[in-house]
Amino acid sequence: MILKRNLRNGAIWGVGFAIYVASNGLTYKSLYKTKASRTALAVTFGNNRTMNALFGPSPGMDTVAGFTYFKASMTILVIAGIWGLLSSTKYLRGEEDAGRWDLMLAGHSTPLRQTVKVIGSVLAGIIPIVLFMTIGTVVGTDASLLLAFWFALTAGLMMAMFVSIGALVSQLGSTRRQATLIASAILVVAYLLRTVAESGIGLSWLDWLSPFGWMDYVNPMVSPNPVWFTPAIGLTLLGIAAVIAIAGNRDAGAGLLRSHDRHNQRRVFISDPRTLALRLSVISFLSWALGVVVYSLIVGSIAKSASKSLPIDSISKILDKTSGSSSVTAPSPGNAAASSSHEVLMSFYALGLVASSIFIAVAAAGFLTSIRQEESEGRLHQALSGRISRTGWLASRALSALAMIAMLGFLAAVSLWAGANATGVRLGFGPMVSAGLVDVAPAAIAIGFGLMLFGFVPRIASTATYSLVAVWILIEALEGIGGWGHWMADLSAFHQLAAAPYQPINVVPAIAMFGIALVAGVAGVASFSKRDLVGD
Amino acid sequence: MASKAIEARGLTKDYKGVVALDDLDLAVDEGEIFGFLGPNGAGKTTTIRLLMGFIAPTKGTATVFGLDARRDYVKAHSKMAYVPAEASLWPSLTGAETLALLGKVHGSFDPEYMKVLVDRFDLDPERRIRAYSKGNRQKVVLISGLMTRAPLLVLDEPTGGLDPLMEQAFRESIAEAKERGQTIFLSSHILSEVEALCSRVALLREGRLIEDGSLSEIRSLGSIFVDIAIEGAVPELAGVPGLSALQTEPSPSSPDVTNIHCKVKGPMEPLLSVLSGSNVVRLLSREPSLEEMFITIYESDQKR
Repeated sequence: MILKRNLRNGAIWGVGFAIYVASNGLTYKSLYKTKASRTALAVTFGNNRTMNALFGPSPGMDTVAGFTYFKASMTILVIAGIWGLLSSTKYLRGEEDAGRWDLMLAGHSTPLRQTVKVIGSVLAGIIPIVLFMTIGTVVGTDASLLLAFWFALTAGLMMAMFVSIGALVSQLGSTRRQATLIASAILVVAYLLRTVAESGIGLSWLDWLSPFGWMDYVNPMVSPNPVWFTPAIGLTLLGIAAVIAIAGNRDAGAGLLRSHDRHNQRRVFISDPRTLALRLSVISFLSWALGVVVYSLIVGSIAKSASKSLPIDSISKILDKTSGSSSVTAPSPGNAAASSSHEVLMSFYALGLVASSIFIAVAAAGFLTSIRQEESEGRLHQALSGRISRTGWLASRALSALAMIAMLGFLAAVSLWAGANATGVRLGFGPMVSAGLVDVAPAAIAIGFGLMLFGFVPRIASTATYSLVAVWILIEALEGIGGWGHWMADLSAFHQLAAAPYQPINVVPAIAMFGIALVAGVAGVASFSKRDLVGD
Repeated sequence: MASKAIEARGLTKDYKGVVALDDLDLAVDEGEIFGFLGPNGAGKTTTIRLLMGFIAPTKGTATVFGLDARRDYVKAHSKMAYVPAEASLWPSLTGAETLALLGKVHGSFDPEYMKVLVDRFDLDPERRIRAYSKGNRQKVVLISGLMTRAPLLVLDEPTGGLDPLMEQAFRESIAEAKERGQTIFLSSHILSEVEALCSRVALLREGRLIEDGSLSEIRSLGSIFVDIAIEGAVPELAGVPGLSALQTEPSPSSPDVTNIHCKVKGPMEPLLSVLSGSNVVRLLSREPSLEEMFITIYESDQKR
């Protein structure tokens, strides 16, 4: 069953990766048609230490394959690592937490055999990912099948390493949450090591310690060096060997690390289930906030150097495709150079805000999922057995979710503003905060849509909300390829955002989106107050 | 006439063609301990979810202290406490935090009594819910319901996972609640528990109510178990009205004595008149236990 689920899940992720890589390649080809423009871009990025530190080295940037690898690889490797660690901790420690592991062991299986079987099933899910990504790379970049395969294999091996790490920490941690936190910390450290190594402060040897660094050395799309797959394969096998050594020798349900299952009563935020929701959301919210703040600070602080000598037509084309509004009018010939450079810089900030808007919409889907989980896991019966009305409960949860996305939008804007100011670029604080708040409109729609489904068809609410956001992201990616009708792009809520500060803030579509969210949300709350409570 | 804590009229719940509860009429008086019996899937939990307003009836109505269980559920909840069969709680909270939260969810609770219950049920409140066993999680929801001192306790198989010592603690707590005049609606399939605690019971089968009454009324529906020892000739008993499950065997201790076991439904007089001409050396009769009653009633209902 786990094998079937992972193969299906792998196929979905594989298609997603394929589309992402293909869209990057096709976008590059459509934006940089001439040799001169490609060379200019390569010079810009090739000499930019900050960009290299964040996204990796950029060899062969003047080729479709080189640019696509530079643009897409880091995102894919990070997602691949997250996929690997979440999959293995879910099916190993998660099953033990849920008590289903004991049922498996009650049959013919042993702890060791069952563990190896699960790891094998999760690793099998990588095969369709590599397969589809190879196809997407060939289609989008015109690379040879072998080069495309090496590229896909970097993602596949990153997944395998973190499947192995996830499996190991599942033996160490005594809860799924603890195991996931440890594995996530390892991923973050691996990324930071590589970032420091590429930052040009004489610590490039740190690359050797990081799985991200090993994949940089493979350099699959320009001059492949598959020998650097060896440490990745070695780490994977080493992790699995450690799992095998531990799995058969520990008690089912117990981890090698002690968990803190005892503490004195903390009275904050337990006055009722609504405030409890805030308390339980804190870690999730802080994680998103940290991600948004770090990302926005980085974008804000590198924008000035990264945008130097970028041609205005390249970035404005991306923005025109991402947002629905048309770009600003061309500057007069006399001020063309200065104005163009300013526009590039502003458009860089605008892209940063749009990217934050996407993160925040994904976070919104997560907040909606936690609302549904209260019901599907049976806790809502307990929460609603007292004096709290259903309408009051759901409305307060919805307002909390809206407050959290508004806070994320605010933090994104303020961090971007702070990053820009630190590099001497003076952006207006008020307009930036306004832009940040307007940009959470897609997240608000996701919440409204999710609430409506929660009210009418609760069992699909979570999946459908994530799917809606995924479809919007997919439309944005496909829009980069071109050839789609405008109606298609209009279906994406991200497409309705004005690219501030590159373009003036347009509150009308934002108000319309908030209005749609409100109507959908109210309908959902009203329906929830009348329907039966249902489990999974 | 006692006022009603719970009243259901024609209460029906249909899940897309599957009838979970069919035309239930039920009344529970204030201060009563009411046992709600039935095998798995009989509709006990569906009835409780309807009483709590978690689900809407397809037909019929349910009221709690005169308040519509669906429409006025918030007001109704202020007069009732709920203990679910499965304790689904927040894993990261401790037992103490969960009790504080659930006390506030209800609106009021007796903190001193909560301490008494925590001691009585031997709960370690400092541990997180995720570290509790199933039985300990059940203790948390049980304590959370009892500590409210609500006028009506709705208990859905509340002792699942509790050991026999805790079962005693539960019975002690229910006795205290009864002394305080609280009404208790106890859904269970532990018949000894219902027999020990309840003054009245209802039996449910496949969503239908098949019996409802006091324990003595329910017992009168069943047969009395009779053991007879006769020395010498044994009279013809097969045709005695109301007699069933007749078994005869020679006494292992005395070859002249025959032991007879049978069940008698209705008056004993026909049996006694047949035995009057015999040398009866021993005659014992006993009422059936609730468990035996349960099986008899279910078997006869199944035949119908």
